Amino acid sequence: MACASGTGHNSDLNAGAFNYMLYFILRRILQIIPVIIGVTLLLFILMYIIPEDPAQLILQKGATPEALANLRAKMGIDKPLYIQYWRYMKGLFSGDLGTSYRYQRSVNSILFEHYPYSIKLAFAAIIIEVIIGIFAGIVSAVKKYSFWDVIVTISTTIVVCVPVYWLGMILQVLFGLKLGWLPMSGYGDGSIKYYILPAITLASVSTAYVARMMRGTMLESLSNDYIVTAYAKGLSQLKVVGKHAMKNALIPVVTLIGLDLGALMGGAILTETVFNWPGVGRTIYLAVLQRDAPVVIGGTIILVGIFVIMNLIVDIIYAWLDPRIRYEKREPNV
Amino acid sequence: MKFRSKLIAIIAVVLVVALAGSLSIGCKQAEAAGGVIRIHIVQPVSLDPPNCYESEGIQVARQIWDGLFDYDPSTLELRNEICDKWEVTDDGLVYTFFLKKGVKFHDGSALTAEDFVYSWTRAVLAETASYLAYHLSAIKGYQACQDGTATTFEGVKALDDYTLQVTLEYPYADFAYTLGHVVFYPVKKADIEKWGADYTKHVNGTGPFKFVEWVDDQYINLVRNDDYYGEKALLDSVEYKIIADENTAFLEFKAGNIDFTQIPTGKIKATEEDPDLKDNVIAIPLLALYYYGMNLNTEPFKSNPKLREAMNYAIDRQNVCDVIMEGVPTPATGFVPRGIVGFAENQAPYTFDQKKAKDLLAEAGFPDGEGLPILQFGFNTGAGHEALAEALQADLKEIGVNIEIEGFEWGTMLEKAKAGELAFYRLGWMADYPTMDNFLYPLFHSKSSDNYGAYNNPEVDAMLIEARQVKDQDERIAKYREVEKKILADNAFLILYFYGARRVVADHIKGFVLSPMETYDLSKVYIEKAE
Repeated sequence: MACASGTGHNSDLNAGAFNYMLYFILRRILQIIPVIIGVTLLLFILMYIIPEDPAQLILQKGATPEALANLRAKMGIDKPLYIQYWRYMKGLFSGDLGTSYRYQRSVNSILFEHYPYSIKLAFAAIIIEVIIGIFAGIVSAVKKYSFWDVIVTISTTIVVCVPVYWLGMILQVLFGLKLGWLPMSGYGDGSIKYYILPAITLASVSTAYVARMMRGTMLESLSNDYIVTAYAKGLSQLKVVGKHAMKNALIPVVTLIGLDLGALMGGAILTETVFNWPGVGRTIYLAVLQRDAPVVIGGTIILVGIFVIMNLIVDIIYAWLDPRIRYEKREPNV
Repeated sequence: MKFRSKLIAIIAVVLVVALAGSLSIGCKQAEAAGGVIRIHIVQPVSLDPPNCYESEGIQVARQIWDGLFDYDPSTLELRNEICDKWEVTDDGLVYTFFLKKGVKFHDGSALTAEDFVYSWTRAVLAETASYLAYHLSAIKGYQACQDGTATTFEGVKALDDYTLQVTLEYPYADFAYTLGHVVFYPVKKADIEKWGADYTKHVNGTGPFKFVEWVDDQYINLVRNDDYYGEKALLDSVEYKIIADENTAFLEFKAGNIDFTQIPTGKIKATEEDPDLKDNVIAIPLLALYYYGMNLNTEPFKSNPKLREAMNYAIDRQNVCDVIMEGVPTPATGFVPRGIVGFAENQAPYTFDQKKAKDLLAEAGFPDGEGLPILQFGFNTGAGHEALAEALQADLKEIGVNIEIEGFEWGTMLEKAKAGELAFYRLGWMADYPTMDNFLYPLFHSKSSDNYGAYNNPEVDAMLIEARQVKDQDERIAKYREVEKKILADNAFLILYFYGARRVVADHIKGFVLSPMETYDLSKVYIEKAE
């Protein structure tokens, strides 16, 4: 009886949860639209509010009035701001991000060429982050105050404090120039050896954060009564930690990693610059310096898009992992 | 940390094996005839001639293309490339160029005079909005094309497949010299129609190396053109490695992965003294002038030539060159830099003489700077101009001239300088062609769009026009020297230095000559093979 009513109650709950889940996802998707409009408008105003004529910037010599007028017409900046914005948004909704001022090529093709490299590097970094970060965190939680715990705590503190570009240069000089084991820069033929140094550099800070968070949540998880019960049942430590404690301890860590993946996919300016990685982060950064508004805006829109989608996925996974989020009709606090 | 180092150790072992394998393959390649040169560049803007306006694109385009003319990398004298011979009418207005026969584009199609007509017309049309169109402004019909009122270029005609006739708007004796510029390179109409804006990634030239591939922010590869009409290149191929950060590139050079790069700012002295690297250093002067411009329509510069003169005597150019610029540039001795055909030493009378500067300042009516307002000086940030501005600020303060320095974005600074809002500013002028005219006409003719200081001397205008009509080179040079002296006597600028460059080239690269225009001809370069 208890069992039957329990089942009935559960299926009702599941249907409700499913409906809420759908509503939740829909609402989150609709929220993306004002974000995109807000971002484009803000970027547009920011890039154009700067009292600088992009045509003048490019035409450093021979900038006769005719030459300037011709260039402005070609760049599409001969019209008032609102017309430019309207034109841009029209293009955006048909998937056209405009033409780069500097390279006179389509922004789509420029970004399309660079994004894959950033994404590949991001995944390489995430793999390091997940494997090393989680493992180090678990070890230092399980062997609390041991030698290993101290090592993890000290090394994560150091890594968090070290500037990324400095770490990158040290690795470059050590493994590239002095030892000659690994390529110092570039994507080369795309083989794994080209990934190692930039991926380690890019992953360094996040790995430290993951290890620390994993340690904290693991310790919290290990102090629960059901863990004591599990031990009392005679389960091995591996099973207790790996099966029972880990599942709960992972939830916040998954959030961190998911959001980090979103951030890393936007490209990493410092790592990409030091290692000459042909990613999108450096492309956007250089475009800012060169006042190449279409590349800056297009790149940022895609970046925001990726971030928003990663956020959405994390929220959904979170809601799915933690039933409390589904039942309480409120935004998860991410 | 521990886990990471273990991981690295494991991967390192794997890599040593892999690397050993790839090295043995590398040796075999080096033994083959020709070989490859690996050159560092930053991402070029474009390889399409009308958009190829910065040093990175230009040095690549120069290997891919031959134009009508080229400059000798050592002497900068004009030398024929596709042009077999040429003549000009007595009035100096009509040029006829006879092209070499048998010149082909890399796709195998024959080059004709019609290709030049098409390419030059494309460069000046309003819709192309070429940054470099102004190089063709002496040719008849230029203005109409820029205005958008004409779609054919009146002054450029193909008389037959191998004869190109160019009619000028006014006599311009150095015109043939200007034709060595990248903007005059011939492109094929069919290519432009096929690729449009993407042509830059599918360029089809006429030179000793053929374009293979350009992967954004990674590399541009060229191979020898075995169908070249002239003497074929010695190298098999050229790899341009695109590296944005100069420190990373320099590390790659030290590791032997790059054969030619520049020495990063701040490391020049150390490199020149490094026993392992000092023999690799190439030191060249560049055809470029660094100066502080003054708006001559604005007070106090407008009515005080003596003030401008005093400032020219008050600054220690040698100190700037040696201490702040690491000994790379040399003090400016006029407007026309060393290396230009016709350059003369000490055109400017300026020495570092603060006593004289003080006297001149008093003559200007500002004894010890009394009555002189603080001068606002602007420079573009982020390019190392600040340290220099501070040194000059100190020098000028010595004689009683107080300046306040302020950094601007490059574009903002140009706009403000042009509008006269910024009356005292930093600028540089790089040669487009190695002619004296290129340093005088654009900077000082009252109608020139590059005359930011609004210098206006009707006598100088007339002399500049007159010099352009002198057909004899020696006479022309004498005329330009006279104009230069005249402008210097007006103290139009605060001249500072002639740029220089420090690069490094690998030991095994032979026959590499870097010209003062920062270009080189790779067709003469070869690899010295180790025994």
